[in-house]
Amino acid sequence: MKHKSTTVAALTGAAMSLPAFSGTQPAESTLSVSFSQYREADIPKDEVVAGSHERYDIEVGKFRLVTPLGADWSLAVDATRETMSGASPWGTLYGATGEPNLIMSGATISDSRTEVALSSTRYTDNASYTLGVARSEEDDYKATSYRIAGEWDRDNKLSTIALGFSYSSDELSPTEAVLFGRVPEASRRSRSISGSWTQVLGKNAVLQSGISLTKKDGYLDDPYKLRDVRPDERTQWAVSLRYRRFYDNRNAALHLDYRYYDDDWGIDSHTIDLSWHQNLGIGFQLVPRVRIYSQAEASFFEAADDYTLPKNQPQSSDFRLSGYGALSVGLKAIYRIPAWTVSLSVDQYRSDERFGHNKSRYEHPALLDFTLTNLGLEYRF
Amino acid sequence: MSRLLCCLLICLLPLLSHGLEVGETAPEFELSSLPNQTPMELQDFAGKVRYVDFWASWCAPCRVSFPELIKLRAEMGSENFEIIAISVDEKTEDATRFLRRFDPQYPVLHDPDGKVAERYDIPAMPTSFIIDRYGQITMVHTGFRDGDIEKIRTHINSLLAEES
Amino acid sequence: MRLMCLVLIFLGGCETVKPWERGTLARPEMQLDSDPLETKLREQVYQSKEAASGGNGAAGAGCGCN
Repeated sequence: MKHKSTTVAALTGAAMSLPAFSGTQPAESTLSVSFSQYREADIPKDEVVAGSHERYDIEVGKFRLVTPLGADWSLAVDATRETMSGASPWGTLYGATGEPNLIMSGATISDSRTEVALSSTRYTDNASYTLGVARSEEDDYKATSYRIAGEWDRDNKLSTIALGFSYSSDELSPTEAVLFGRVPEASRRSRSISGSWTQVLGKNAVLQSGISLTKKDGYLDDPYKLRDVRPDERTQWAVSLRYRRFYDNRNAALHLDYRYYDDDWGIDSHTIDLSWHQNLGIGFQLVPRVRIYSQAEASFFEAADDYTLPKNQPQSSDFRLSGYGALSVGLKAIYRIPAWTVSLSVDQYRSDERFGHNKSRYEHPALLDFTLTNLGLEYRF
Repeated sequence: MSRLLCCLLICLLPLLSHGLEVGETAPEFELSSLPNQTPMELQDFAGKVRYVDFWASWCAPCRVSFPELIKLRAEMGSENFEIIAISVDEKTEDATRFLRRFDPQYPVLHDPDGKVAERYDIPAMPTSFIIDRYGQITMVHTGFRDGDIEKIRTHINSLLAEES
Repeated sequence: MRLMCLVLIFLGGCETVKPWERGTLARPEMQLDSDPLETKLREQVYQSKEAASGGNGAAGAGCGCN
């Protein structure tokens, strides 16, 4: 039995952000490639009532080319190819001990997704304007998105204001729709506006603050779940702060990012990203990093699927809408010479309902742990 | 309170940064050369058309400008023309490491405290000044993009043609 | 604006940085995003496995190079 996971669909729908540029024309061309491996940990067998207890494995290859064109333009081309296999949660039900257990799909054979994005920027003395388009395709999900953005430098480039608008239109065609009683075709769209202010604080420090507002509408349910009904609309907003500070005496930089998120589904979350970029010798850099995440549950979250509720009443047992927290620890090693950069990183992610600032009643059995490995190569010419 | 005021002033009001202007006399300076640390002055090249280029190892357009300027210098010869490159790198090793990749034949000077850069009030990195034989600034050029070397070459040729 | 300045004061206030003093700010480890490919990948992973998304626009104050 072939099964498509919504993980892939969600990957596509959520993040069609297009390449971001600083306000200055790049002086050289850059070619980058990366190979990544994403491995989810198996679910303990006693938490699975039916289906496979193995989870998702994804391999991602990415390519990017950025090049100046003439004196005032630049062009960026991005391509991504992902292949994935594994099983994912179909639903939950209360087990013998009174806690929710998982119903998983069977293991799937390999599926793939391809994404291509094109973006062009025009530079003037103190500003830049970007237009971009992206297209993502896989068996059961197709999405097209557009972006327009502007950046204005003030104060001799010590201060930068940016504004961006993006629009995405997605089409779903869940596999085996007739067999499983899934919606055969659906669509959704997303509109988003974002802004940021970047300020140089001194010779050694920079601070960026950002805000974004997104409105989604259309079919927002997860079509592969046994019982998943979500509102037709979602309004999301987020504010963020990003701080970079260099310490001369340590020859290292500190990165500290914070983001607060809130939406009208009842979820709010905090994200903290902390990393230390330590230079060693000529060209080597080691970057240990930590990410702390915590979210509250959606107002219509149900620990176990409740089939007695009317079909038009919002409910979902998707773990991504439950209250929990996650801790991610990683290390990246970088080697940089004038024309080349090579990097290797490993991150270990662990989620637990105890980390949440507003946790759900039961820890969701599908809370996941994963390992993400990434190899990157960059060539400048 | 005064810090808040200072912060508001700096963050809200645009700075008026203009650099030295065309027609003004190029300020004199004395700096040590790289890598030999020999002292040199602007007036050592008096009587020649001079291209004074402020650069740094961390400045991306400078990686593009160096090979172009080296070619230009080879074309023009050093009888009536000279390029004087001034590095504002705070650390000497950063500048010398950069120079090893390009090996320019023209004098490269070091201004680690930015005193000469300040006197020339450069508005951005990189900035170059084309100075005629009489010591007047005739062109101020910021950045280094596609097509810039042509404009520079034309301007220098017109200055060299003047005298004859 | 007031909140921003308060934050800035807390972090040491703003100073004017001259164009020739921007060497440290130009370092790869001082960029807001020095590895766009990896950032995009991690964003995609987190956005598909968690509820939150978004937060910043596209900008950066770099070395001031023209």
